[in-house]
Amino acid sequence: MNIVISNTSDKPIYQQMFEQISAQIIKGELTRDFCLPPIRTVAKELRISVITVKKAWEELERQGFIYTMVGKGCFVAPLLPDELGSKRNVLAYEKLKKDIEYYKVLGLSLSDILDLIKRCY
Amino acid sequence: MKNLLIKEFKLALNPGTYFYLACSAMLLIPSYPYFVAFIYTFIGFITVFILNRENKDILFTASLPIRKRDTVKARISTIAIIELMQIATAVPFAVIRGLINPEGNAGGIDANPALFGFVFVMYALFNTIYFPMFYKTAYKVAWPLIISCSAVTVYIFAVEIAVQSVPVLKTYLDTLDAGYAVTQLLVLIAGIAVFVLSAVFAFKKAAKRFEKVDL
Amino acid sequence: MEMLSVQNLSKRYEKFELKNVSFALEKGYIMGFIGRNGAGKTTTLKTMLNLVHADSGKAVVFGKEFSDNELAIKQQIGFMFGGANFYPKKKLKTVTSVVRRFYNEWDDAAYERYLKRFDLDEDKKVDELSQGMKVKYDLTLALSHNAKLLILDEPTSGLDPVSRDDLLELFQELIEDGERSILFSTQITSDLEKCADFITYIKDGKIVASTNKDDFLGSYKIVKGTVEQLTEETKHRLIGYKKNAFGFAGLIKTENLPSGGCLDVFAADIESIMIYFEKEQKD
Repeated sequence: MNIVISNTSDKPIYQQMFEQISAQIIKGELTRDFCLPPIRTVAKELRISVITVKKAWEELERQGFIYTMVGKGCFVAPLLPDELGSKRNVLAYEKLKKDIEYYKVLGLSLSDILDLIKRCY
Repeated sequence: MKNLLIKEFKLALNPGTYFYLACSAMLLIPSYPYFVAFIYTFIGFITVFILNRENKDILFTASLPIRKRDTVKARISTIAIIELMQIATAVPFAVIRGLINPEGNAGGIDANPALFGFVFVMYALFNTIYFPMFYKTAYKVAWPLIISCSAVTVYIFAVEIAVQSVPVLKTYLDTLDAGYAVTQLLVLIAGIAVFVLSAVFAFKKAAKRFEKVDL
Repeated sequence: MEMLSVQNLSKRYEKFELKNVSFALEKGYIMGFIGRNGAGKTTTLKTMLNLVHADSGKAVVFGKEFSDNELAIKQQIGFMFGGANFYPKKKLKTVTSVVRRFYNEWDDAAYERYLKRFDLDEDKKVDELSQGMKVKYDLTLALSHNAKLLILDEPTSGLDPVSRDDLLELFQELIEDGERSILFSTQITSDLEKCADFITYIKDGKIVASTNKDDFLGSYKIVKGTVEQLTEETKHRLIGYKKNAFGFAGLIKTENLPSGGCLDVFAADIESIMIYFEKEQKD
């Protein structure tokens, strides 16, 4: 499991953690029943607040990426390939939606954006 | 309480305090105001009180799981113990002086039981004034010392002058003649009683004041 | 479980007043207590611990009122004031030999372990230790009597950045098992960014905010804009702002952000929150 925290980013730390871990689950780098390290250990290692880690874990659980077994810890949820696919789409959709808001402010039309995406991809 | 006394002796007192006990040997000087032998120990006390302020002794002690009034009790007991040690070390010198030099003391009261009684009262006077005054702030050291030491000085002069100028006192108290031992022992017992009562009074008053102090 | 709850503490001095100070700290967390010099940090900590008598209010520690259970509670807390420079001429082992007598749960094995862990030499005198080592020695004493709550007044003051970082890392290590809590005051905001779970911010004897760090940071934003955008209405919304020749920057509560989004909005860090608060409504 890899987490890289940026303290200078505008994005809250819990959000950074959520995005990175969920991406690793979707990409299959973290497989089902992988045991996530204890919250307090993660906090200590990354030098961040216990509450921040808790929040990230809660978000992962809420969105079905992990499950908690009381007294044992948090594990990567057993997701079927199509579940993974749909979760991936949800994440991509959310991100795209935010980005498109910004493009709209810049005055780009749908075809402009599609054009740009094609050029970048 | 035992732990606090250990704290006092291991941390709060400086080795210099014991040095002044040697001053008891001044009783061997043939002609001398013997009260002086007992007042050097005050220099030891002054050093302790000032150093303790620098060492934040009060705050350190307050951080321990103890009652605030017990710190006062421990401190007064410690000083009283040193006063008693000073007197105890002086006793053999007084005896030796009497043996090797049966001549009376031309410089002041003879080294007899009455002198020790007066010394007990002197220490009592210091304790009664210093501690309640100091624990009013638990920070200001100078004024309580100035006032208590001045009172002690006045007291010493008063006793010496009285004993030298009042014939009855001179006869009964300023002599090594064993014939007057009973009267002198009574003075000694009275002195001890005053010493004990003053320590209790000083503790009660000081503790009450210290409870109110914001550290 | 609440380890500490401070409820409406008030204390009036001639020139300063602590006004209804309240906050709470849960078991297993670190709370940073910030404020400027003279804001009331030390007075709050001292009043909590009954070193200073409160005019009203109380502190509840481990579920019990402090002033009624002072001795029992002190057995289980460790506290440190003002650089911990007690008895500079005494050897550590002398100080320890005295301190250990006062605690029922003194643990010699733990003491030895922490000495080793912190590289403390018992034969050294207190004033031979660096400031950082002094703090570590104090922590050693607290941890060896199994203190569950550590209350530290400016433990990082006077430390160089490396020792400071080292100490903050240690704080996090100490709470890792979730059994201990730490309340420490500081004026260095990066201390909090590095290790606090909760932040309590005091200003002029009053608590401005006491909440978890993420919420604290999330509830304020920095906004920037042109001088023209700094209208009376905008000024009214801002907690504090600074004007310069090319525009202005200010602090705003997230909930007060004007809709429309013509101002540039940035995440606020603790330092800027504090600075703008202290510059409240000044040009």
